[in-house]
Amino acid sequence: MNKPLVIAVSKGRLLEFAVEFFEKMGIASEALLSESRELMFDLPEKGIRLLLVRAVDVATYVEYGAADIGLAGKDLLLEQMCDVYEPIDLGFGYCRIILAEAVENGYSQNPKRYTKRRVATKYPNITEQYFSEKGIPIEIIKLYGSIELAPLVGLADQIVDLTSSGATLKANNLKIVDEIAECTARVIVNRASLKLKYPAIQQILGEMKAILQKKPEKA
Amino acid sequence: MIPKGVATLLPDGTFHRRSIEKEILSAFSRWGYQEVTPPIFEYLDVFSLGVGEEVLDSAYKFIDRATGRIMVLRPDVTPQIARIASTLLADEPRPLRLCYSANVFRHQEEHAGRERELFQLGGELIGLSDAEADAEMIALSIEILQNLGLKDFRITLGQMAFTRGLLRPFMSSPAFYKKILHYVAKKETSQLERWLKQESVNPKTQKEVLSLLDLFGGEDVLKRAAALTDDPECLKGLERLEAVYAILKSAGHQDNILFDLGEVRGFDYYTGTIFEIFSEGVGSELGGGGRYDHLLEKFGEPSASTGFALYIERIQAAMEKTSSEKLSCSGVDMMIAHFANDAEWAIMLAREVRSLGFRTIRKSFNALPFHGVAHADAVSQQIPKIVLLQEGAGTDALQLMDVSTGQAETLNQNDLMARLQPDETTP
Repeated sequence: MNKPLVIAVSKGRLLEFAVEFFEKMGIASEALLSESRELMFDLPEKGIRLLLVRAVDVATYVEYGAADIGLAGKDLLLEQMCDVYEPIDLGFGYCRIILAEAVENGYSQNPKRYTKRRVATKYPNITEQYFSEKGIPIEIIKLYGSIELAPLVGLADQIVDLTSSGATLKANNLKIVDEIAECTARVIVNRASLKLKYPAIQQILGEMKAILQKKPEKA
Repeated sequence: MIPKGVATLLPDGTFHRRSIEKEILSAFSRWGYQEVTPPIFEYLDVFSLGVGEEVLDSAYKFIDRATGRIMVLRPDVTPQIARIASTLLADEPRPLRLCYSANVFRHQEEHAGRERELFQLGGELIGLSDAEADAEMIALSIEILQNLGLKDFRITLGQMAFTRGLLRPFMSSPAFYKKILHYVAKKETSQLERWLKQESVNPKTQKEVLSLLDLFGGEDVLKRAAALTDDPECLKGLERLEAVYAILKSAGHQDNILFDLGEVRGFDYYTGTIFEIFSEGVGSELGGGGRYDHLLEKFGEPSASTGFALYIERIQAAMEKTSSEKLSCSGVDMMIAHFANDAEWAIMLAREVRSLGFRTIRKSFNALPFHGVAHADAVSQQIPKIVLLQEGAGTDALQLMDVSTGQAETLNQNDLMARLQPDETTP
C-alpha cells in the first residue's frame, strides 16, 4: 500500500511525551514541536503522516478514519465515548479525574436539603455517568476552563476535573472527594483502518508495545 | 426545521441509491433470494424476543392507539424476517432464501455516519446449518461489493462459538462479563490486563482472554486460536471457521479476508460464524452478518439460520470516495413543444416517444411563434432535444431540434420514430 499511515497527535500536555516516544521508535518528529503553523508532517521514508490537532479532536479524526491512529488522553476518550479501538496504554501523561469541593464548609459537610446539587465540569458525560450510577440527581454546569473557581464563587457545589499533582486544587482551597478515573495517554485505532491497513498498523502497534516493555513504565 | 439524523436525497443521490439498490437486489435474485416486505413497526414485546437490550434501548417506541401496547419502529430487520419465517412461512420447504430493502430507526448520536434513519439491504438463509451456508453469505457480499465497483475492501471473519466459549468462565457474573466484553470490543489490551490482575482471575484464564485480543490477522490466527484452548465447543467453532474459509478460498476470495476472533460487538443473537465488511474511504463497517441459530425458535419454529445486511448510506459514501465515475441523473431527454390547439397531436406523439424509453415532457404554448421560447426553455433545463409541432400541421411536418446547436430538421412522424429507435437513442 502506498498510502501513508496517518497518525493524529494532540497539541498540549501530551505532545512532548509523544515526540519523545516517537523518537524511540525511530520516527523523527521534532518538527511537531517547532512553532511553525504547519499542521501536517510527512515522513515518506517511514510511510507516515503526522497530523497536529487539538487534544479533544484526536478521537474524532480517528473515529471518522481521517487518521488511522491517534494518541489521546484517556480523560477525553472517556468523555467522548468514540467508537475506536484502544489497544495500548502508553503510560505517560498520568493524571486523575476527580470530584472535588471546597476545603472549608464543602458540600459534603453541608449538603443541600431543598435543591439539586450543582457540579461544574468540562467533562459533562463522565460527570453524568458517575452520578447516574450512584443514583444522585445533579445539575451539570458545563465550563470550558478555570473550573476550580466555580465552587469558590458559589457557581457550583462541586467540580469534576482533571488533576495531576493536585497543586491547582490546593492553591484554590479545594480537596478531593472521590477519584473517578485514572488517565494516561492511549493509542487509539480506527476500526476500518486496522483491517484495511493490515499488517502495517499491526506492525507499528507491535513496535510500540516492544518499546513499552523494554522500559517498564515510570511513574 | 428538520430533525437530526435523517437525510433528504435529491435526484442525483436518489438515482445513485436506487442504482445500488437495484444492483444488490438483482444479485440477491441471481442467488435465488426472494424479496419480502416486513412492516415498519411491530409490537415491542414481540420484537424484543429477537434482539438485545442495547438495540431495544435505541429504538423509537410509541403507544398503539387501539390496544395501548407499546410499538417499536423497527431498529433491525432480521428479527422480523425470523418472525415471518417461523410463522407465515412455517410450512414452506427449507431452506428459505429471503431478502429485503428496508429502513431501520435507531436513536443514536449523529456522528461518523451514524444516522437515525438507516437504509439496509439484507438477505437471510433459513434452514441450513452447514459451512456452505455461512460461506454463501460472505461470497454473496463480496460479489455485491465487486459489482458495485468497490475494490479496496476487507472482510473480517469471527466465530461467536469460539469467542463466547473462551469467555464462558466470566458469564456467571453479568456485571463482570459486561466489563470484559467492553474491553474486548475496544481491544483495550493494557486496561484489560491490569483489570484481570486486579480482580485476581486465575492466570490460565487471564492468558486466554488476553490472547483473544491478539487473534487478529491472516490464516495463522486459526492455528494460534486452536493452540489456546481444549474446550470442545471452541474447537468445533474453529473447525467450522476453517471449513468456511476453505470454501471462500476455493472461490478465490482469500485476499479479501482477515480473521478477528476478538470481535464481540453486534447483536446478542449471533451464535456462529460472523463477519464484517470494511472499505477504503469509510471509517466504520459497511455491513456484516452471521449465524443466528437460536433466533427463530423464539418465534415458535426452531431453525438454523444465517444472514447479513449492508448499510446503503455507507456504501454510497465508499463509492463517492473511491470511484472516479460519478453517476448523475439527467432528468429529461426530450421536450415536445406545440401550440395549445395542437394538444391532441402532441399528447399522442408524447405517448409514442415515451414508449421508446425517452424521458419526455410536453409543453404547450398559447402564443405564436414559440420556437425561440421553447429553445431557451430547453437550454435552461438542460434538455438535449426538442420536437416542435408546426401549428396546425399535425404530425406530418415535425421539427427535430438539437438544443446544443439549435439546428432543426423537418420530418414526419414515421421518420422521427425511425430516428429514435434504440440504436440512436441518447444514453
